[in-house]
Amino acid sequence: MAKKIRPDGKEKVTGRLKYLTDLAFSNMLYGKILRSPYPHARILSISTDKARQLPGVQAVITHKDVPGLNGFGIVTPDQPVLCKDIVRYVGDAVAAVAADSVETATRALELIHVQYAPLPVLDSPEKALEEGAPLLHPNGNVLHRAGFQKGDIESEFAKCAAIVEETYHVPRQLHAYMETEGGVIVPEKDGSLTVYVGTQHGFKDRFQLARILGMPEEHIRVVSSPMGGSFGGKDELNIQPYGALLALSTGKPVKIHQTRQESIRSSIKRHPMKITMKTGIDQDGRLRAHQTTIVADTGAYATLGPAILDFAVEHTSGPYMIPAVDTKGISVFTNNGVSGEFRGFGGNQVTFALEGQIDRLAAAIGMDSVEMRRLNIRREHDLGPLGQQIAETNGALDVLQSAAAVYAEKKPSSQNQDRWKRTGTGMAITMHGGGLGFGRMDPAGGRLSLKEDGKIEISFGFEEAGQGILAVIETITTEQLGCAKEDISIMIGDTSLVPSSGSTTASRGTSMVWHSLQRLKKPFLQKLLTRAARKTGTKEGQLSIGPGGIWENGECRLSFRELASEQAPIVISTQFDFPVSPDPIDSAHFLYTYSGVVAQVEVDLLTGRINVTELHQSLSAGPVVNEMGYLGQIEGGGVMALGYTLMEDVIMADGHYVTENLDSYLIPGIKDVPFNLQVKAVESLPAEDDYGPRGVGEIGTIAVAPAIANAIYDAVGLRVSQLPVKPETVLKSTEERGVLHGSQSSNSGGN
Amino acid sequence: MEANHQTAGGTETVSVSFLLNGEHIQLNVSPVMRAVDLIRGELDQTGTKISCGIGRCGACSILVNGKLAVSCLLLAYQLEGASVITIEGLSDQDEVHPIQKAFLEEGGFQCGYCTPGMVMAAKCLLDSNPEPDRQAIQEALSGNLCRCTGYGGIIRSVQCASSK
Amino acid sequence: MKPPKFEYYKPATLEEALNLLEEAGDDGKIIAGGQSLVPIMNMRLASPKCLIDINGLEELSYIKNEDNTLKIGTLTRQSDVEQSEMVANVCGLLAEAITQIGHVQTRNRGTIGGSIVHADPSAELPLALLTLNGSVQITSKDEVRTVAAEDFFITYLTTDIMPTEVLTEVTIPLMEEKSGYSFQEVARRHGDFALVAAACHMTVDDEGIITAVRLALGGVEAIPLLIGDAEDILTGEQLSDLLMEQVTESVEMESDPESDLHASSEYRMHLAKVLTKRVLTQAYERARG
Repeated sequence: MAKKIRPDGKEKVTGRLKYLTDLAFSNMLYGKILRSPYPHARILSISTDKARQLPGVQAVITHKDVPGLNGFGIVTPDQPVLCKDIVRYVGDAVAAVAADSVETATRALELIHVQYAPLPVLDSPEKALEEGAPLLHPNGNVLHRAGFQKGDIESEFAKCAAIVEETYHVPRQLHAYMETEGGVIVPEKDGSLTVYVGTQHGFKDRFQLARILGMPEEHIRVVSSPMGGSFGGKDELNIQPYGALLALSTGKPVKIHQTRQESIRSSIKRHPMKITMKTGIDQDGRLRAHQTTIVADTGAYATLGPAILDFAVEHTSGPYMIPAVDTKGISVFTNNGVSGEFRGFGGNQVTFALEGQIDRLAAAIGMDSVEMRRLNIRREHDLGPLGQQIAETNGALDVLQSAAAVYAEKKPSSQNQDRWKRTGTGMAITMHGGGLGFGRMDPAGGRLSLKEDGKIEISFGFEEAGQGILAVIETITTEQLGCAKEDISIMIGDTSLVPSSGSTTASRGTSMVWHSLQRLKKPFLQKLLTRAARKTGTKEGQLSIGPGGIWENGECRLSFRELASEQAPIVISTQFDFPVSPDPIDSAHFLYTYSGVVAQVEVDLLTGRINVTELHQSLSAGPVVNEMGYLGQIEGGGVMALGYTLMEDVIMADGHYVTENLDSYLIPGIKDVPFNLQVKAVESLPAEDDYGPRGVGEIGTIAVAPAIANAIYDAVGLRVSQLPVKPETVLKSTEERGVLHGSQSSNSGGN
Repeated sequence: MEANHQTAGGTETVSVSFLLNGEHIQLNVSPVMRAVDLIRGELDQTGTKISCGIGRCGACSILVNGKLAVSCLLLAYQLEGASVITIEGLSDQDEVHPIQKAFLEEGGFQCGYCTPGMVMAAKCLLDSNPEPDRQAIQEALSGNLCRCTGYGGIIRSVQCASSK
Repeated sequence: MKPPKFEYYKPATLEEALNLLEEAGDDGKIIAGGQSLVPIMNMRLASPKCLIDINGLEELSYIKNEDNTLKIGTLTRQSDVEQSEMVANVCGLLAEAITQIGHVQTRNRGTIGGSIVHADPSAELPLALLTLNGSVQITSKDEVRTVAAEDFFITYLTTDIMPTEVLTEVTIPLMEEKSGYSFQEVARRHGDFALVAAACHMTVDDEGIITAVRLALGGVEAIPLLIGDAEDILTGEQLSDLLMEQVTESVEMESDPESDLHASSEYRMHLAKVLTKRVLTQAYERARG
C-alpha cells in the first residue's frame, strides 16, 4: 500500500510551515503578562506609573482595562482575566504590558509595583476541605461532586472471597506541547480583531473573547490552527485575552509567545487525584462489589474540572460488569495551579487504579489475571458503565483477546540474563468514551462546496494540533466522494471561513468528519451530477464522480473546473450532534473505544531503575482511517503515558512550582522508550454498526500506566500505588523484601 | 580591544557576519541577543523553533560549521564567521532532502514543532554515520525531545533514510 | 527570559583577555562554549556585568601528548576530545566520561575548561580530572600557576580561580603500567546531570595485585570527592568483596549527599555505594585484561 503523506507534511519537514507563534506583522508589539508571585494573596495596590514611563512601553493594562466580563472559563468564567483584589495561584495575571521589544516588555513588568497581603495557602484538597479553611470562591472550596451507585454494595461485599482496598495517588502531568502558548492579535482597520492563537475550539474562544472585550462575536476572527501540540492543554483560553486587550489598547498587532517557564507557571495540568478503591471478588472469580472515592485537586479555577470528574466517575468500573458499584468523587479548589483538560480526561487516573485492583484481586484468589478479566468483561449487548445503552461492539473482548495473546507469548520470557536485573510483564485493558457525553451541548458540522475554481472545498471548525485531522479529512473525503486528493482543498481553523464543528477534543474529530461526510455526500454528489448531466447532456444515471471530475463509461467527461465554471458554487452544509445514548443519563457516553496493553519492563535491582523494554497496544476503535496517523496517535500516546508512569510530575511546594522547565520536568527522550513500539488495530465492528471510525486521540494513553505497574509487580513484587514510580520506591521495596537476597554475593557490582 | 568594546545598556550593537544557508548575512546585533532570536526574528527564518530556552529540548538545533548546536545557548554574535545551516537550507523549494522525505513517508512528525531540530540532528548523524545502529540513533537524537510521536515514527524515518 | 544586559568584549589574544579581566575585576566573566553560562543567564540566575568571549582564541584549542602527559587546551570542544583517537588510546577514562556529558549539541559547543571551571559537583569532567590526578594551568596577567585537581575545587560551583585568571590548560599524567578504568553514572534520564557518578583508575601487576588506585565520586558532596581511603585499603591487595565493602564504608563516611527534587540523600548514598562497586570491579577487570 502506498504510504499516504499528510497534507501538512511537506511544510512541516521543511520548516516552511508558519505556526501562529512564527507570525510577524509590521508595527508589531510584544506583550508580557505579570503573574502573581503568591499562590494566595490579597492585592492591596497596583502601581503601573513607572512601567508606563519606560521608553518603548506602549500600554500597561490591569483589571481596570477589561471592558467586558473580567473572567474566563469554558463552562464557568471564574478565572479573572486580570485580578483585582485576590490572586489564587502563582499563574494569576495581574497586569500586562505591550512594548517595542520583548526585552522592554520584560523590564516593564519589573517596574510594576503590586502590594500583596499573603493569605493562607491551601496546597492540598485535604487542607481546602478543613473546617475554617479560607474560601477560594463564593460557593466554597468544592468545585463539584459526582457519584454513581448501583446494586447493594454491602450485600455484594458479603459474598466476596477476597476484598482488596488500596489508595492510589497520581501526579500532576504537564502537557509539554513543544510549542508554548502564543500568537499575534491584530486590530483590523474596520475595528474588528483577528486572533492568531492556537486553541482547540476557535468558536469557543471567540465567544469567550467577545464576553471579555465587550465586542460582538462577529467582530472577532479566530485563526486557531496549526499548533505545535496541545493534548487538551490549549483548550481553555491562555494568552488570548491579554493579547486582545493590548492590541485594542494600542491599535497595533501584539505578539505574545510564552517562555517555557511562563508556560509551566500559567498553563493547566492533568488533575492529581487520590483514588481509594475497595473491590471484592467471589470465589469463582466474579467481581461483585466496587467502591471508589476520588479526590481531585482541581486547583484555583474550574475550567472543565466538573466534566473531568464526571468522566472519571463513569470510567471507574471500566470494561467490567460488576453488580454493585458505589463511586463518589469530589473536585476541590486549592491554590495549586489550575487542573483541567488533558488527553484521557480523568480516564487515565481511574484506570490506573482499577487495573491495579484487578491484578491484586486475581492474585488474592490465585486466579490467572487474564482469565479473571475474561470472566468479568462486558459483552456486546451489555449496558454501559452508567447503565446506559451504548453503541454495541465486542471491543472489550477483542482487545482482551489480542492483548492476552501477546501476554501469553511474552510472559514466559521474563527471565533476565543479568543477575542484577529482573524482567516482568504486565497487562491492562480499558474502555474510553468519546464525545462530551449526554446532556452536554455537543454539536458538530461541516460543509462541502464546489468552489468557482473547481476545487471541492471541505471545511470544518476543527484545529490541527499535530494529531493529523487534516490527513483524516483528506482520506475520508476522497474515499467518500470518490475523487482524488488533488481535487479537494481543506479549510479548518478559521472562524471567518469554517462552519462550527464543536471542539477538537474528546476523540471526536475523526468520528465527526466521517459522520459529516455521511450526511454531506449524497446531496452534494446529487447536485454535482445534476449539473454535470445538464452540461454534458448525458443522463445522470450514466455519470459518476471520479478522480479529476465527472466520469462516464470509464472516462473523465468533465473536469471539476469545467463543472464549476461560470456558475455559482455548490454548497452543502450539515449540522448535527455527536451521537448520544438514548438513555437520559447525565454525562454518559455512547461511543467507546477499547485498548489492551502489554508492557515488559526490566528493573535494575541495584539502582531501582525501570526500563520499559516493550509496549504492545491493541485497539478497538473501528476501521483505521489513516494508518500512519493511527499508529502515531497510539505510539505517541503510549510514550506520553510511559512518562506519566515513570518520570513526569509537576512538583509544587506551598503552591509554588518546583519544576520550572524541561530540565526538572522530565518527559521521555528517545533513550527512555522501547525501540520497537507495537500497535495492533482490531478493526471489526458489528455489521449493523452505523458509527464508523472512532477517534483514537486519547485511547493510547489510558491503560499504559497500569500495564507497566503490573509488569513491575511481575518483575520485583512491588505493588505500585503511586505515580510516577520512583527508583527509590522500587529499591526500598525490594530491599525490605530481600529480593536481592540470594543473588547477593557482591564480587560483581553488576553492570 | 577597543574594536569590540560595547557599553552596557544595549543601545550599542556588535557587528556579526556569517553565512546562513549559503547566503551572506551582515548586520548589527545586540550583544545579548541569542542566535535563535536573530534567526527567527531579524532574519525571519522561523523553521528553527524555540521551546525550552535552556538547551534541553533541541527544537532550536542548527548546524554551525557542520556541527549540531542549540541556538538558544548561542549568542548571535558568536555566529561570526561561521557557516550556519538551518532547516530552510536543507532543501530547495521543490525538492525535499532524502531525510525529509523519509520523515514524510514514515510518519516522523505530527505537530511538526520538534521536526526541524530533529531533522537537523538526523542529518548530523547520517552525515557521519550513514548506517547507524540502534544505539547510534538513540545517542544522536537524545538531545531532541518529541512529545507527539513517541519516537517510533522518528526511528523508522532515520532507519529509512539510512538505507537509502 | 532573555539574557540580561552586559558589557561585551571579544579579545583576539590571550594577553588581551587577561588585560580585560584585570580591568573588569569582580565584574568580569569569561564565556567559552556558553553551555553552562547561557542557560543560567537566560533564566536570570546570573547576570555578569562584563562578558569576555574567548571563543576566538584558537591557540587555546589543542590536544597533545607531551612527555607522557595529556595536555588539553581549555577551549577544546568536548566533542573534539570525544572524537580524538589519541585520547581514546591513552586516556580511556576521559573518553568514557565525555560521552556521558549532555547531548551531541552541548558537547559540540561545550569546552573542556568551561565545564571544569563551572565545577558542578555532579559534572563528568571535574570528576574525571580528579580521578586521573590531573591539574589545571591557570594564567593571569602576572603569572602562570598549576593547581592539582585535588586543590582546585573548593565548594559548590566554586574553584580556586580568581576573577583575574583564566584556566588555560588541563593536564593529565598518563600511566604506562597496565591500568584499568571505569566511569559510570546514574542520571534520571540519559544526558541529564548525574544523580551520582563514580570513576576509578587503577593499575595492577601481573599477579593481580593493585599497585595504585584512585576512586572519586560526583554528586555526593559540594565538590567531586576523592575517596583517599580507597588507596590505603586496596593498594597491595587483590580486589575482593571484603575490600570493596571496606571501600564503600569509607564512601559512606565521607559522603554527604543532598536531597533535591530529583533524588533523596539516602538514594544518592545508595547509588554512591553501588557505583563504587561497579567502577572498582570494572576497572579491575579491565586492568587485568
